[in-house]
Amino acid sequence: MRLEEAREDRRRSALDKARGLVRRIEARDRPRCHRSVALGWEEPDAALGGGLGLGMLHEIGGRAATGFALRLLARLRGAVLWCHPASQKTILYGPGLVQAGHGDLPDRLIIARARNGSEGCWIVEEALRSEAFAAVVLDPADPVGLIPSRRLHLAAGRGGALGLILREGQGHGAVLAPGIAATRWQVDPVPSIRKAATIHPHWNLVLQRQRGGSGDRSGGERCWSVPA
Amino acid sequence: MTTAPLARLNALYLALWFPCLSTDRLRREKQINADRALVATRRAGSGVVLAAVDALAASEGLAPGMTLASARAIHPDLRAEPLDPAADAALVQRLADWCDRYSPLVAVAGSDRLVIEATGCTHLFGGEKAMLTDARDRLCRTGLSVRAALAASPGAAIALALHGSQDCVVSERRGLSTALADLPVSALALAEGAMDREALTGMHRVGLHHLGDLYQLPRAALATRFGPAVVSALDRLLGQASHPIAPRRPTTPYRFRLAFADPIGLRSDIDAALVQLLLDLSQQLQEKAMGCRRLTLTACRADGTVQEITIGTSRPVRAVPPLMRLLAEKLESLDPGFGIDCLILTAPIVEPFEHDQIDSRALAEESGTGGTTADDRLASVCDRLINRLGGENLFRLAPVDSRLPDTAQGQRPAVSSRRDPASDWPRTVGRPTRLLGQPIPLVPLHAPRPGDPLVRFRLRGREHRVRIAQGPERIAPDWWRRDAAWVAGARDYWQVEDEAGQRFWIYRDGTAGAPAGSDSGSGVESGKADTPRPHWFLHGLW
Repeated sequence: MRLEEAREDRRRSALDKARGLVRRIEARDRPRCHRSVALGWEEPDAALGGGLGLGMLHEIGGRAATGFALRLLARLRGAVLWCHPASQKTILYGPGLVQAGHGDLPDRLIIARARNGSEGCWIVEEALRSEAFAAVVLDPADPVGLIPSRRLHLAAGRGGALGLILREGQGHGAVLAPGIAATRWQVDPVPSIRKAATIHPHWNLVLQRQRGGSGDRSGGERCWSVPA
Repeated sequence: MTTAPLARLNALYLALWFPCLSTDRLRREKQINADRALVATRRAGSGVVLAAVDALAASEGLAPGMTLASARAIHPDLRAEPLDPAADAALVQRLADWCDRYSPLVAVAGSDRLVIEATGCTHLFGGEKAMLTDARDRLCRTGLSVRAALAASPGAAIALALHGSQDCVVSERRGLSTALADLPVSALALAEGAMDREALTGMHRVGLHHLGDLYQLPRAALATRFGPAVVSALDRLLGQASHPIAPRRPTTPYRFRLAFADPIGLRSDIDAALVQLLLDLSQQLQEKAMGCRRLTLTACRADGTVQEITIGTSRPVRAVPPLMRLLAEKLESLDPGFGIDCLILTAPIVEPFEHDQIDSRALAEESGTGGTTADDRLASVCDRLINRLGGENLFRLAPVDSRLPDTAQGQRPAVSSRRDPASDWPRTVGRPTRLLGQPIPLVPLHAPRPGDPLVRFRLRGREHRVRIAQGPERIAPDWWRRDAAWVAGARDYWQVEDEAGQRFWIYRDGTAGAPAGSDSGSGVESGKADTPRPHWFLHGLW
C-alpha cells in the first residue's frame, strides 16, 4: 500500500515539475511586448495592425525581396546586420542605397559573410540575441531546418530585433520551418508607372501568411500593388 | 659581500643544449632502433660527408666532416639519413615554444641550444636544481639527448651545458669563476659572437688552455695581445658585463600560468582552469586600469606539443565573462590529446580602460550582459562574430572617392575603437542597390544601333524584353590608371526595366562601333572594331 502511495506521489510531483517547465518555456516563448515597424503603405499596415512586429521573424520571397527588406531597414533606427553566403555574387551597394532614399542605411549596415548554412544561422542567432541590432537579415544559402528555425525564433523573441529571412534565390518553397515566421511575403516587381520624365517602380505585395492574423482567414492571401 | 646599488633578483639563466638534435630527430621520425648507429649526411662537392653523428657513432670514432665511405669502412652497419636543416630549425622553435612553460623569456641561442631566463621563476618548480632536472627529464622522455646547466649569466650557462658536468647549477655570480676555471678557452666564443679564431689559437700557443689561466693575467695585456673581444667575453661569462639574450617574443607583464600535477583533458576542467587564469588577469588589469585587446592561451600538452589560441577584441576588455565567451568558442579547436599539463594566459596587447562617467559599463560587463549602451553591446557581439568568422567576413561599407562604380565602395572594420564620422556617400544618380562583383555577360538577341539600348537579351537562359530604358551614362576609366576590368575603355551604362518590372543595370563594353558621346575613349581596344557586336554585361540589380 505504502509503496503504491509513494509511487503515486512521485508521479504527481514529476507531472507538476513538467507542467511548471512547460509554463516557463511558454512564457519564454511568448514574444515580449515589442513595438512594430510600419511598412509605410496604408492598406498593408492596416491589415497588419500597425506594421511588422519586432522580435519576430518575417520571411520575404520574390524578386523584389531585397528591395522590400531594404525599405524596412531604412525605416528603423540603429545598427543592422545583413548576413549572406560567402559565395553570393552580389553585394549591397552604398551609392545605390543612398540614392534609393535609404538615407543613412549604408552607415548603419554591417555585413557578415557566412561560409555555410549553419554558420549563417549561428551569426544571425548571435546577432538577434545580442540586443545590439535593430534588425537582422538572413539571406540563407539553403532552407533553414526545424531546429535552427526554432532557435532563431527564440533569439528574435529575446532580443527584440526585427528578423528578416530572405528567400529571393530559393524559389517558392518556404525557407523557415512551418509555423515559425510571423508573416510570409511574396514581393515581385510590376511594370513601373511613368509620370512625366520620372519613373515610379511598383511592387506587387502578397501577404501569404500571417500568424494569428486578424480579419479574413477565408481569403488566405492578400495582395496590394504599392509604389516601391 | 658587495652591495649592489640595484638590489634586484639574482639573475639566472637555464641553458639547454641538444648535442644530437639532428640524429635524435631522425631516429624519432624514422623509428630507428636505439642500438643502431645513426649519422646525418650532407653532400659536399661530389661526395657525401657526415654532418651530424649520434652518441653511438661518435663512440666508434666517427665525427662530422668525415666522408660517408670512410665512415662505413669503420662501421659497416651504419644508418645514414640526409640532413634536413629546416626540420631541425623547426624542431628548435617547437622546443622553444615548449619552454615557454618555464619562463616567458626564451631565446634560441644557436642551431641546437636554447637559453631561458629563469630569474625569479625557479621557485615555481621547487628550486633551481628541481627546475633544471624537470626540464631535462621531460625533454629526455621525448627521446632527445639534452645537457642542461643553470648559471648566473647566459654565456656561462651555455658554456657549462656544452663543456661542464651534467646538470651543473651555479646560482651565485661569485661561484662562476670557480665553475668556469676548468673550461677550455674556446668557451669564450659562446659569449662573444665576434671572437676570431686567431685569438683562440694564439692563446693555445702560449699555453692558455683553460679559462682559469686567464683570470690571473692583467686585463690590459690580455686585451692588447688577443683583442678586446677576449676581455669582454670573459666579463660576460663571469657575469660582470651585461649579456642580453634575444627572447623570441615581446614580453608582457600580463602573463599567468597554471600547471597541473596530473594532466587535464576534460573540457570542464579546462574551463575551470581558464576562469581561474582570467580572474587573475582581470584583477591585474583592474589594478593597472587597463583592458586587454588581445589574449593568447598556450596549452602545453603532456606529450610535449604546444597549442595556442588567440582572441582579439575591438575595445579594451577586462571582465571575465566576455573574455571567457570569446575563448570558449575557440577552445573547441583545442585538442587536449593525452592531457594538458600547463596552461599559460598572456595579454600581449593591452590598452587603457576608459571609464564611463559612471562606471556602468564595467558593472554591466561584470554581470555578463556585455554592456549597457548599444555601442558596447555592438562591440561585444561583433567581437564574438569576428573571432569566429575572421575580420574579413564582417565589415561595413565605406565610400571610396572613385568615379568607377566597382571601386566606389570599399570595406571598413565593423567596429573600431574610435568613433567614425558619418561617411560621405556620393549622390550619383542611377546606381543600383546591389552590385555584381563580377559583371555577367548578357546574350543580346538583336544588334542595337550604336547609341541605342539593348531591347531584347537573354540572361541565365531567360529572355527579357526591355520596356523602359534610361541612359546612356558614359563612365570612362582614368587614363593614367590601368585597371584590368576596364581595359576595354569607356562603358555606356543603361538602367533598363523588363516587361515584368524587374530593373537591371547593364552596360555596353568598350567603344566598339560608333561612340555614343563625343570622346572616343582611349582607343585601347582598337582590335575590337572588327567584332560585329559590342559586348553587353549585367552589372547591378535593384
